Amino acid sequence: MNEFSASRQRRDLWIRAGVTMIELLVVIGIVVSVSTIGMRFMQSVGKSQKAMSAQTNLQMEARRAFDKAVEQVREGTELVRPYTGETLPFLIFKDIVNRTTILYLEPNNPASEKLNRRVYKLVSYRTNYTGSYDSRNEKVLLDAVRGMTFTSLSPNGVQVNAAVIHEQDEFQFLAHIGLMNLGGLE
Amino acid sequence: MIASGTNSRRRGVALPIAFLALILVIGMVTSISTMNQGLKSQVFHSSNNQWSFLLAYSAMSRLLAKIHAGAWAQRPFATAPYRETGVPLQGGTYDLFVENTPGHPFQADIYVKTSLAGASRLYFWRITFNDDLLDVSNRIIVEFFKAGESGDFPAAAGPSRFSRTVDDLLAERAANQKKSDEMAVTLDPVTTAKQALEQLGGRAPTPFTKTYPSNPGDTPYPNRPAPTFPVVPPPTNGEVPTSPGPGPSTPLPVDPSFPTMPAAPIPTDASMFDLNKQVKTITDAAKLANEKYNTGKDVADEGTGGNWAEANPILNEAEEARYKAMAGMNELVSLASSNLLNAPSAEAARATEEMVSSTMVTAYQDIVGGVSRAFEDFGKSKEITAGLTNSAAAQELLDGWVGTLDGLTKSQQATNDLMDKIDTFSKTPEVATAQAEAEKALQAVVDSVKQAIEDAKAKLAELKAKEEAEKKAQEEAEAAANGGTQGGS
Repeated sequence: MNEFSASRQRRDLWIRAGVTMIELLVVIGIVVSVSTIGMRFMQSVGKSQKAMSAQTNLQMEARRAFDKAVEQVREGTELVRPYTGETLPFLIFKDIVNRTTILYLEPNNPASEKLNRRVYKLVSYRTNYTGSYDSRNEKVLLDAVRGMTFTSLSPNGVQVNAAVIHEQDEFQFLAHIGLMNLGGLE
Repeated sequence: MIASGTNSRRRGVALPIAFLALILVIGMVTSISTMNQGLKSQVFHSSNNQWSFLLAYSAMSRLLAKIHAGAWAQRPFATAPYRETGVPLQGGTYDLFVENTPGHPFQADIYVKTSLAGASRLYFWRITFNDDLLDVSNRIIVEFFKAGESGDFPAAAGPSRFSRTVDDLLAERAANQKKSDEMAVTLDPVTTAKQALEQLGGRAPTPFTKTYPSNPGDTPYPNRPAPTFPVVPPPTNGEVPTSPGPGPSTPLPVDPSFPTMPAAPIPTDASMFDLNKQVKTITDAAKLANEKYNTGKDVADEGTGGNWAEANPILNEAEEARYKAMAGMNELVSLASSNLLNAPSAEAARATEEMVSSTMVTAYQDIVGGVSRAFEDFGKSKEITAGLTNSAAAQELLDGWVGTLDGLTKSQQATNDLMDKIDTFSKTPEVATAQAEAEKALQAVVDSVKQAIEDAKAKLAELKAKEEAEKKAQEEAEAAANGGTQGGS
């Protein structure tokens, strides 16, 4: 009898240890609250993530182009245009093997169509002195540029002022690039 | 007892579920943050490229300081390559290898391999040491720079694959120097990229296919010209010190003015422009001289020959053109000499020298070619003198030719003196050969005139002897005739 009674008591306890309505409501309440907070947090994180990603991509693209331009211009030895104190929308310089290179903006029609505004490409062309065009000497350094100017502040340095655009954003950068000084180090 | 035991065992699953949900949220936030961090790290990684170069440049500057500290003979790599390995700097490390450039005295090859943020890069400089005690400020000249693969860092002394590549690039650089200088002159007046591309042989940029709204503030960039410096007039009288000062007073001049500074040519782009302009003047004048000499001789040869009356005015024009060319050549050497003093590099100086020597020799060839044509008849001196019938004509011809030789010798001397001025200038083998041939051709003209004079002298002596003999025979005949008459009477 005692053993039977003890067994029944354990079964009752098992039944009573299940989820009650109150407990279920409390759990649902907590989960809904946490989910709501989590969702709102996720949304804000998602928005900032998207904005940051776009901004970072833009910066990365600008940085990549900047690195390319720096790499090209740094191996230049002599500025041909602009002269010191002059500002031009293009840059002409001689490189280490005395090939003359120009960086200039060319209208980018597909991007302009997409953004419904004037968009340019930054293109570099390196002459081979034959007078004829060689597509192998042409490179696109940057796809979407709103504008770019080159100012020569010294015979060995050029300041680049550029606005890179994106579908949703625009990124401005200013850089001073020094040419390789083959005339002597000071 | 049982009830209390039962209450203590009562627990739900709400807290574990809530805890699990929190872990999920935290996990998601962490993963998003990690993704952001990845993007950020890419940005930082790209800037390492710049940083790495600065690191290498600093390493090279340290080495240059060591070279500057002593004589070139005491450089650390004088007898064997100098190495530094794993030197920490600016958050990274660098390896340095320096050796004398094989086959080039006073030059050194510097290799710097940087290690920064797990990436390794190689930078190379070839420098020239200017061993000039009077110019200690600019002793080291960078001849070449190139970035390469870290695997090209040399392990042993001697020419490497990388240094041979550099030699090739330097040769290409020297070959392109003249073309690039000429291109720079043509790019001087351009104002748009389109014009520049035309000169460079590039593709004309495609225009916008339709009109797009302009961006705010997107006004066309004006071509902002270089600022012109204002002309500062000399100070007026009021700015001249009027204090008497110690010692006897010296009255001020009525109109004090600054002494006139001698106008020293300042070699700039403008002087390079002058140089190119001068080259054209010389080339044109020398070509004109050649053309006129040939035309004059053609006119002289018309008909039966000897049409010198009509030919002489043309030949005089040729002489004028020759003087103009020679004056231009003299000016060109002066301009080039001042330009070379401030040449930006050894290659630029060599290119200028080659351009000047090439121009001078071309003009020299044109002039000598014309003179040779005009004086070609002296090669037929024997035929000319053979036609002489009396000593008076022979003497006249001889006097004329002696005068011609005098003028020709002076011209030859002046021309050769002019060409001697470019003896120290760099010349291509073709130009040097052309100059030697032109000198030889001019000497041949002088020699032909000298030979003609000798022929004329011989002819004169022959005619004189003949005339003397004739005279003597005549006198004897007259004497005989007179004697016969007297005897008869």
